[in-house]
Amino acid sequence: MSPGYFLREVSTNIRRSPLMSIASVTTVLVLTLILGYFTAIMANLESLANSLLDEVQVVAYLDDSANQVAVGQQLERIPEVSSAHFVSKETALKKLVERMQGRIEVGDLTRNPLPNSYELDVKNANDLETVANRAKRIAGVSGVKYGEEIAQRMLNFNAMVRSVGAVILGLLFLSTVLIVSNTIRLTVFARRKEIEIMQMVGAAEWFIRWPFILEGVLQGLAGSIVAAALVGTSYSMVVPKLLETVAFLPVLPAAKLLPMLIPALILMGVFVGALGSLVSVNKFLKV
Amino acid sequence: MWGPFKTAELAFNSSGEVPMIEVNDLELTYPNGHPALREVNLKIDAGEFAFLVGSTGSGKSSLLKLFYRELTPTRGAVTVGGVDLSDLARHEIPYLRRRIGVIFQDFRLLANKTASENVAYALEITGTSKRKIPGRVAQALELVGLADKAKRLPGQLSGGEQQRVAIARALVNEPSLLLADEPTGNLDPDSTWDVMQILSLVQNNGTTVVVATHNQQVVDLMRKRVLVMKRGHLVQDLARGSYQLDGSLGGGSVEESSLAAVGSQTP
Repeated sequence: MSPGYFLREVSTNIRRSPLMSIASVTTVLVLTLILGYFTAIMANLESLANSLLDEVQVVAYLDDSANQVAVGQQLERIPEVSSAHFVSKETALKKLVERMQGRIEVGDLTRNPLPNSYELDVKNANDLETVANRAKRIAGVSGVKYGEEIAQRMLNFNAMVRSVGAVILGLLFLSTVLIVSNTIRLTVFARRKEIEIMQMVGAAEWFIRWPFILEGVLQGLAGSIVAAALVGTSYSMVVPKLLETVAFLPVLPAAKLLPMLIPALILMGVFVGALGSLVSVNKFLKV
Repeated sequence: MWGPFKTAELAFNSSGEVPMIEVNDLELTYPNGHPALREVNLKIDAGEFAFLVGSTGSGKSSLLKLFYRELTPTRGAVTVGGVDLSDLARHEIPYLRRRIGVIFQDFRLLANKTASENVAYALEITGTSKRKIPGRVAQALELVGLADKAKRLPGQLSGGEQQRVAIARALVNEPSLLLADEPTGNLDPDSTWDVMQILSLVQNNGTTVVVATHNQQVVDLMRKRVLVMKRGHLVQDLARGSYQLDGSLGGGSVEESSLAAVGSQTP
């Protein structure tokens, strides 16, 4: 007796009652498809939020009398800071003029009112406030600015995306397991007589279970592979089109998302198929 | 975990040193409180052929189910092949059933499998080597006269043929005990005699056979041991008996009229 026996058993079962298999495979396919697209959308929302937060910097303004180099070294020593970039008052003025697009001229000013400053990149957007507070305490730093409101709003948005996403994803997963195991239960129910007969002729319980579990795994595999292929191809087709229209949209590239998403979807299909079968067979294995 | 790899052998004794079936002080009550069997004491020796007769609801089927551990008694003991079935662990039940062939009125074949696959299944579950299976399946189908219909699915066979496949499946593991619950209940007279002849042959080969039946003609013609059940009691045990329902011949009871109806179906 070998796993080969169980495989043969499964293939005969599927061949001789294809409708039931099609029902299970289709259920897995549709649910995995929904789950796949939803995950893709959530992953993009989160990456969007993250990429926006990455842009947020802490700006530390210096006293004109401060020692630029010493302050810079101290700023870089703050543990949450990944890099500190010096902006001289001249550069700052040039940037301002550029931004105002001719509405002010350098010549209008008797002196440069802008201070020297450091732009601090933060390792984690959640530490913006900490970095700002620490920078403020360094001698020679006259003031600190980090767009508190924008940063906070984005942090809130990010947290919301995460928790709402997790809840919806959890509910979707749960309903997938329930619906698939219900469909499989129907197919097993159609064969409860068979299970009775197997028990009557003296088949051990695991001998009865294995073909059903294997069948569930294959059905889950078939459904989720098709679903993953659909999600994969449509995503790789849509992303370049989106980037054509909106060039700087921070969409997750297919090469980054799909290597994670596709195996996850297929694994889930297999898991759901196996679990659904096991639960259903056990229901009809009575002694 | 693969089941058939583990060969937990049962201390099953079919040598004739112990009775094949022994029932002591048996009592069976259904979960709804309805009594099914009461004070049943019975001994069937290895190699015997016994008919179990009685009207519907008299407890025949329940008694058979106790023999292959589909049911467990509420009180008392059932011993089959020297094995006390109340001592049997759940995982040992399959091993008991491999020593017992069971056939039913509704055949209970796997509809998705051909005749030979149905018979082979009983061998596959015991872990019989792949090389030996085709030969033994062919032999069993030969015995029931269905060698030429091995490739047919149950739906393509007549009732009598399906019952013969079921018998082949029950016999392919060379059981010590063959239990039959109304085996001819769905069959025409010709098929009925085919089946009874096969069962006789099986007994001649040394297997103990117990047949629950309503078929008066079969019982009267075969002149085997007859156990008469009535309302859960074993009321008569006749060595070479004929069909009767309550032990008293010719009492115009309800059971008698139903017997007349059954009897008139067979020529």
